[in-house]
Amino acid sequence: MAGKSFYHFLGCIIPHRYPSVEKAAKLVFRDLDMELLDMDGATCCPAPGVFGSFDRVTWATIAARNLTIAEAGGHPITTGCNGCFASLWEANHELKHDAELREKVNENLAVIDREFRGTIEVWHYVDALYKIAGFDKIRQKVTRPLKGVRMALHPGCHWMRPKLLKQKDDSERPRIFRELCETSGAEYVPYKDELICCGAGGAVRTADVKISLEFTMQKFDSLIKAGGADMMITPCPFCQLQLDMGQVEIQKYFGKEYTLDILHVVELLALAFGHEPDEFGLATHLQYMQRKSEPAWQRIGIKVEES
Amino acid sequence: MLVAHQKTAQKVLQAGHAVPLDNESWQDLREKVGVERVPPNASKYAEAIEEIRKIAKKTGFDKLVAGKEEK
Repeated sequence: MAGKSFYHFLGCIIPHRYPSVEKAAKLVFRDLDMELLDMDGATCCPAPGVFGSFDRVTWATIAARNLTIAEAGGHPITTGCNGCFASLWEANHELKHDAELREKVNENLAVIDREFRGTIEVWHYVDALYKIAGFDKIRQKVTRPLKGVRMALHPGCHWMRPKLLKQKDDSERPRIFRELCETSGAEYVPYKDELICCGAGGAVRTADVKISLEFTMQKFDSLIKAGGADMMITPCPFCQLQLDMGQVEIQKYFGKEYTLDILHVVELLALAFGHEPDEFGLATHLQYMQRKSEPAWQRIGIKVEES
Repeated sequence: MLVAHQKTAQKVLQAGHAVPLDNESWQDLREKVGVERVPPNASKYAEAIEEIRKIAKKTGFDKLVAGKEEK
């Protein structure tokens, strides 16, 4: 039976720096009978920190242009990036509720023969996975339960915040992302700074990478103080870049060495569904490419044959 | 506006993406994981970039992010 179809909004970081997430999403959504459609001609969401901060109307217009691609095809959007979700979801919401903004945006879109109509919704992968597929179906697909693997979480900021506006989860005591990750069979490891920003967001990484990395180190140190973990899971590629590639940068700028495998939630589920890491290129994360290393296979629950 | 933020905005006007597919090695990486070398976004469709430029010209964003020094 054909499942729900989504336009797949890739954003910038997933297709251009972490394509393993794009491939893992395709595997996981297919396994769960959800269709991902190419979103031809989509651009940057645009970046909420830079565009949203400096010109709200331009930010909303570029986001609306992306929304019109999905409106033309009549399917909702799904994205695996918290930042893209922030721009697209919030622009869609504002344009549906702010007539003055919508009028300005449609004046701008008229120069490219487009019009925002407000006919589709924007879903994060997390929404699609737990609301459409559902936890029961996801658990049924797990053929490689990651028993004994200690999993720390980094939910990030924009999927569930602002809490009252988005109404996704309790942003101070979230449970949905944890429950989704726990379907893999891995063991949740709490730590004090789980809910702080990775450090990259709000255009901080762009402005001052060292300050952004101080947030990242605080998270890692908090996790170590709590006893450590075998891997960290996030639903956002920008957070993933900061936490993964950030370890290389921390070593360069601060001389501190952290070696923690950072997986996007769809990569975690792809492994739990029995896909081999090579099927989606798990070992291509920038941390491994830079360090010429590879994931700690056994720690993350993957059996490796002795050579 | 910091120069770093200005440059990020300029990248979107130049390539359609804040983090562009600006090197052959990124296409090699995509091929390695088993997806098409160029994704079906603005990296593939030049007309999408042109639309972004037209929007930026209409709103004046192109002037906002062009040729300013860091303050």
